[in-house]
Amino acid sequence: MSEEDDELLGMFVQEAVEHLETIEPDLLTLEENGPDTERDIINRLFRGVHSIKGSAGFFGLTAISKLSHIMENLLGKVRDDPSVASAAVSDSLLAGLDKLQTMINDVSNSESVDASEQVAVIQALLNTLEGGSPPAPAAAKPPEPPPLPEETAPEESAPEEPPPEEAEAGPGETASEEGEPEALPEELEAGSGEAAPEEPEPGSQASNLPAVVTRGVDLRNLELFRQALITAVQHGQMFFVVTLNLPLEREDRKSHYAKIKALMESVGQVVATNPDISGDPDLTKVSLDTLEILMATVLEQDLLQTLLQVPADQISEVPIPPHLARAVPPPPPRAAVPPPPAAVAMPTPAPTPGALEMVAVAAGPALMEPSHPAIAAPHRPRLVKPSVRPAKSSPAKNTEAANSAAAKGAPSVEETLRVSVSLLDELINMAGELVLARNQLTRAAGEVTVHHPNIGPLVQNLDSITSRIQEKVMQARMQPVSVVFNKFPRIVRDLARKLGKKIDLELRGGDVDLDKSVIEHLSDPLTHMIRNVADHAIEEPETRIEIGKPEAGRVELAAYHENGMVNIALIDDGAGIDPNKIKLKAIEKGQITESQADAMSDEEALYLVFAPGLSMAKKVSDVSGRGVGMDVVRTNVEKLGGTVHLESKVGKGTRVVLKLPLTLAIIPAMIVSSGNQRFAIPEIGLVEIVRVAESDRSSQIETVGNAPVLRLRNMLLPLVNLADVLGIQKVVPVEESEIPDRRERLPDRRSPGKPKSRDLRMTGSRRPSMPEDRRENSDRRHPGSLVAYVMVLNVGGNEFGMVVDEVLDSEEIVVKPLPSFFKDNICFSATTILGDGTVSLIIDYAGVMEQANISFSNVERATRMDLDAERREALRDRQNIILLETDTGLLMGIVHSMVRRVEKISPNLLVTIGGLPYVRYDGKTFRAIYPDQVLGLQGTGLSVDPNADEDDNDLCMVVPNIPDIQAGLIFARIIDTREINIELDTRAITADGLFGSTLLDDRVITFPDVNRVFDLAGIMSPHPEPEFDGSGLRALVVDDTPFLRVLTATYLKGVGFEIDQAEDGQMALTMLKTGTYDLLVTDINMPLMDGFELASEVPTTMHSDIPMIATTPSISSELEEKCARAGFVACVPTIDKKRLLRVVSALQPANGF
Amino acid sequence: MLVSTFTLGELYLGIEILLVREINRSMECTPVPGSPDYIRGMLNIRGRVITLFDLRRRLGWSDKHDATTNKRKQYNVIMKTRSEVIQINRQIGEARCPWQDPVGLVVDQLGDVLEISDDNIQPPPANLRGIAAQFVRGVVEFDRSLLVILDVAKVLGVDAKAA
Repeated sequence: MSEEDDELLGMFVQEAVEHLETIEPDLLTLEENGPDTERDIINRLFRGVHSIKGSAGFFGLTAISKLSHIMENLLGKVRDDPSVASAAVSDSLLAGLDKLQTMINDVSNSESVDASEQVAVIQALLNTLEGGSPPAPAAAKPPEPPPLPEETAPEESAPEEPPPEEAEAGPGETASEEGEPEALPEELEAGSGEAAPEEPEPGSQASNLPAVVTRGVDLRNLELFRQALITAVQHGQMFFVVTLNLPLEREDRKSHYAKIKALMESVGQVVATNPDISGDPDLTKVSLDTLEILMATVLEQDLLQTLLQVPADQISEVPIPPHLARAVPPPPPRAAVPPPPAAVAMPTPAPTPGALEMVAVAAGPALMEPSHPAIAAPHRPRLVKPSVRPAKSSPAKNTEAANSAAAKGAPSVEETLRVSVSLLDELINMAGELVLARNQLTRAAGEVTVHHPNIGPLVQNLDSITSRIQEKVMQARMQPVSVVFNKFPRIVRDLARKLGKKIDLELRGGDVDLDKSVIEHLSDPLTHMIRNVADHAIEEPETRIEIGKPEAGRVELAAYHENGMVNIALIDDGAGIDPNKIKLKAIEKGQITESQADAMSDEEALYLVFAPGLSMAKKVSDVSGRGVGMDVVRTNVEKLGGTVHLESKVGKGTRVVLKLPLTLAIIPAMIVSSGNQRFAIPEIGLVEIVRVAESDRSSQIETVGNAPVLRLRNMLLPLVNLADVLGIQKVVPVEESEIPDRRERLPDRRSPGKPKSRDLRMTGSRRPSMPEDRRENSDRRHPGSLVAYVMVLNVGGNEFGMVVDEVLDSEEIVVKPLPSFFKDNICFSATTILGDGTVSLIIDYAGVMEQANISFSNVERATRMDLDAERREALRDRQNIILLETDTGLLMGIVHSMVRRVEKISPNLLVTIGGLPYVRYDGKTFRAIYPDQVLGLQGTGLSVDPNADEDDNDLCMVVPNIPDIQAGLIFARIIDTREINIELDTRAITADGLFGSTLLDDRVITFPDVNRVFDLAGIMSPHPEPEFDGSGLRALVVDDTPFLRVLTATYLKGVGFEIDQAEDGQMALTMLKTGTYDLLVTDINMPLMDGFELASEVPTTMHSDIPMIATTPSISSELEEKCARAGFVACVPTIDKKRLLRVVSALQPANGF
Repeated sequence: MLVSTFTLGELYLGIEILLVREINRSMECTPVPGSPDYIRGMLNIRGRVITLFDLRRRLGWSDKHDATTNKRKQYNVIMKTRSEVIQINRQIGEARCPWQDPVGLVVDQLGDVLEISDDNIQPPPANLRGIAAQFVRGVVEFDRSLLVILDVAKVLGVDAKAA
């Protein structure tokens, strides 16, 4: 087969697929509505199948053409008499369609596909239906209703008759039959009456056309065939004059004409002939050797020509004069210009709604009349009110483009162009390159701008254009989700039938666009989900009626935008998922233990459906129930960078929401280094980054059952070392023996190409994604604190930690496919090109997890559930502090939660007003406090920082998290943020305003009581500290964080309380049962038993009316309400001394202490 | 046909020039952990990610061979992809260029471009050393030396029929 043929065949397949896409939903409508199916839909079906047949014939694809031919015949029957549209008919057609789909999907082997079964079924139906009617299927004339016999029988037509009469006769007859308003024919008549005298169009039209034979009737004067014209216009037909060469032999003439006529009537109708042969069926009287035939059809000229097999110059289109068309909406007239069709959109003024409605009504009965392969408005969506819709629809031509647009529910006439995906991909590729080049240019421009200041704006302009190009190119790859959605009505129908259920599927948001790559991968998960819903969620019809639900289950599939993602929701009103049943099933399968099941919330239990191998179907059917479903859904969706959410109420229904990114082509990623190589880690699924210094290693990383785990808050996180998994270099983070190895690699990691990292000067807030936190400086200052970074990743709801050597950068990366040579490597999902032009691999964490063989059921679950004591220990260890150094070299640690922010300020912002230092910052004036002076502690001078920038005289101002205080503590620099175990020594160094000190890396760190420091410095908060004497009273302070516990205790001690401390709710409860207390101050977030649980247990002790105060790091009105409900008298920020004391003093009168 | 020639140690090799996209000096590339040792890594050439095959290792030469070469002086022979070849010559593309991804071969030295008549191409002799017969499309006797025409698809391990 030649290249051109290949190309043409490709086009055929593409077009056929588009047809099939429309045919399927239409067939479903046909099945649903049976004889009431809208005429348009039947016509569209007919036309679709017909086009496939026609083109298949052209390519000699006889199998396809045979099957589609017989389908077309059956559809012809339906079109002629919709009452034959039984379930058997639509079933057979759907079966045929499936076969057709198979053939077209593999067109080169289509000849070997056996479709005899489908053909036989359809043929049998045809035979029953035919029952003696003439062989030409489209020519069948049912007796009822009998409108316009003239049209189908040209012999009887009398072109000389005044057209208006005909117009009146046709619709009038049927209208009265159907009881439609009488006004209708008048309307039509009026329209034509106006038009006729106004424009002597016919003459000029005729003169424009190639003169053939002018004797007898002028076939090109459509005025003469008004009735046919009305029908034609309403059905979107066009008129052609076909010049037939008659054979010389008279006997042959008859059969020749009959053959042509049969062909014509299979696709339209013969309106008239010239010379008129109505009285001369044998054509014996025709003296000429040519015969002109005027026919109306929906086919395009080229198709018609293929069908009739006559030379192109013997077919000419007869344009419908605009004034005639105008009188008869809906108007899809062919303009005088032959194809391209997109160019011929003819202006057609929309008729007034009233007229329209009536005409539409007229169209109803007219449509009942036989043998009209009319298509009328192919873009009209099914099941809409026919009376209004045509007015809105523009005169889109029955081109493939319009047709496919119709199938996708986009009634748009915007011009479109087919562009190959590979070209688009190339464009995206180059747009990516452009972005890269832009980045490099921007970097380089920095230096040049000094000498050529006009470069700046130019680069900026280029920058913005580049971004826009990239955005638009990405848009070009977007497709509406209806591409996927549209196949579900059929699937649901088949499933419902197979399962004996009734299901109504509603599709919404089909026009939401998603990247092609996302769309492509969406089909499988959605199919799984829909099958699940049909199989398990929707109850049997009887059951539904019994429990008071509508008989038919309602399933909604909707797409919508939310937060820059596209959500796809599948909502059903079925049985819902019972968490208890799932738990039982999971226990049965050994996926969780009973104690785990008990500890699990219903919500958590629901998510067990995503566990592999868990099927909730009572029995395995061929629809679902093999336990490969929801886990596959989740895996697929997560591969797309999306997430799955599930809500369900027993008896009410289930809602599954897929949240998907708009595109996969550009994603945000962290660039990390591991084993001396750089990798990109997609940020989706990255929960946080934890830095583990060598010195903290032993306390933070340990081994559970051979696997290294990281203690992270209240859980143990399984760890994998990326380099190990990839087999790059042998580095085991847990084993101390590896340290020399790591040292050796140190110089490598600081390869000259990379910029020297800056010292960390930033707020003390926890910043999981802090790329520049690279630590060389502190490494040198604190020998032995080589660091590793743990990327905490979430795969399918399970978290694990991936250990990397360094975190370098956060970048938007352009995803490029992984070369096929590496497809076996499950650790990589794709490649990208980094800013410096080197290729980097994108890590697939699910693959890494699989490769590392992490089994969450073994490690994480066990540790998460059963290690009370260890967890307590783990929690005690951790305290996030900011290390700062004063300009006298005193190291201070401030707990991160006490700090609102840390500002870097230039020394020249310091001013002295009234002998006191202030800082002007951000439009406000802060009182500057030097903590070492206030505390009377001076260090031995600033330590030498070998990496400090000579010119860097900037100071750090720590703004405390105390309301209403506008003051800051001034430090020379910030050294580090650490998560460490503070073992507070309250004896070694004592000073008013100092909690105590601790040793860290052989240096003494002091911990100031920030509140007290401000007191000492004479900074008064606007509200004076309440006077209160708590002597003789005993308070129980509960906090899992030792430091905060000491803090709260110190505050209360300061006003005379005696203090007992407990580190979690359980311990507190025990103490409340044995001791006597006057006040309970408890943290809310604690392991084992949190503040709320404690509050609910307190009434069971003898302290049932003890005043309770809740402390929390961050306060919200919501939380305050919740606390109030739980019985707390107040909820205060943990470090807010004044507020705590105010609350305490307010308690006094009411509680009598 | 025109053949681009080069050397690998003592071996004199040739690749049909229609399949060659460009040749450049060997440069730093990104190794792919877990890949076969004969894949040297990936390279960015004007936004295309090229997979580089180390021909020496692919032919199974030991490190001893490697010691004699200086990697910096090697060359990358970047091949055209299937679609690029098909644009030029459909028949050759379909028959001999099954690889879809941009790839390159690392060789030691570049040689001349030679015109070779198909008639002169002979089947590889049984005693051909340094290269397995499966990688050889044929040999041409040339100036007392033997030019080995590579079967690039086999070298890349891509099945011509599969594509």
